[in-house]
Amino acid sequence: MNVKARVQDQFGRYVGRYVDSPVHARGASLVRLVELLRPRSADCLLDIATAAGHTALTFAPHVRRVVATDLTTEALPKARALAESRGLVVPLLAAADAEGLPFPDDTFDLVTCRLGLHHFPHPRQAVAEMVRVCRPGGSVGLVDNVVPEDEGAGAFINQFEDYRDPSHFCEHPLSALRRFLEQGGAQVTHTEVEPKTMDFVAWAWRMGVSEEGQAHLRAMLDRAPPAARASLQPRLEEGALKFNLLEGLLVGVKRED
Amino acid sequence: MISQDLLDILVCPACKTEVKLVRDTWLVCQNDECRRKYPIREDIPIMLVEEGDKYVDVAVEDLGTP
Repeated sequence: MNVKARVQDQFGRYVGRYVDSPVHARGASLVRLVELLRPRSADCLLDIATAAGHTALTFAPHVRRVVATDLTTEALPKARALAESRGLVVPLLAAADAEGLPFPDDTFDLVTCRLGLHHFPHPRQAVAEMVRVCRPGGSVGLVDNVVPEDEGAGAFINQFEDYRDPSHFCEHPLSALRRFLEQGGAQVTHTEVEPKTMDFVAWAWRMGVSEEGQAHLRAMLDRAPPAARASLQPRLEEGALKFNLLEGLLVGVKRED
Repeated sequence: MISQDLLDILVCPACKTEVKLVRDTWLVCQNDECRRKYPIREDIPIMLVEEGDKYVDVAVEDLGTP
């Protein structure tokens, strides 16, 4: 099974668990994306890898139209149901592969992709597609888990994430995401990285990790090499195992030339 | 029913040619060399190349209910 089929299989089974996930539904980067992209009422926005639709629905009240896509067809009715339950206009929905979008060049004022890029086997191609469908002068807002620039730490954190989620492909350092945007034809106008606290049990549950698998992941956290440990910061808070993931946020403006 | 606003901006993901709505349930690429056809299920177009590949050799008049 290739990675895209694994994404469809894994998210087809577990997308419902993302509807109420605090990290996905109420993460700080949702608010930051709106602040930084400054949507206008006439804008048309594309949200890629929308999953349960949290980013699309956050922007919906601010823009004229939202189009939301996901590789996993089972995700899209969840996004529709969530919009209806909140009394929001339902985004226009289409199943689509981020690496080959079904839209003409220069179609959207804003393009967002939040917490999807680490599932893509060809992220450079996906980001180039995001820039392609954005109009010149429009903005691409990219949020994803990032790893430290230290290669060893990055490799360990990717192994840790891979074990928990077979559809995980690779988390990249911020410098790589910046490069993807620039090579795609955007000028990067803003970057930031913030740690986010993950509750180990909830994180494992969202992907249906077995008890045995959780024990393996706990052992990985225990023996994390120093540079990875410094980033993950595993700790007990009121008896619950917590750790950090780094979330990167980048804004790229499509060049006019 | 698929929204006209969405229809207005959809193209074939493989060759980026415009698509035509057929019987409210299919989007047919208008490039004669591509001929991919994309089903619409629960009002959601499935614009995946591997999905379109399945119907390349199916005539438009022979497309069934997705």
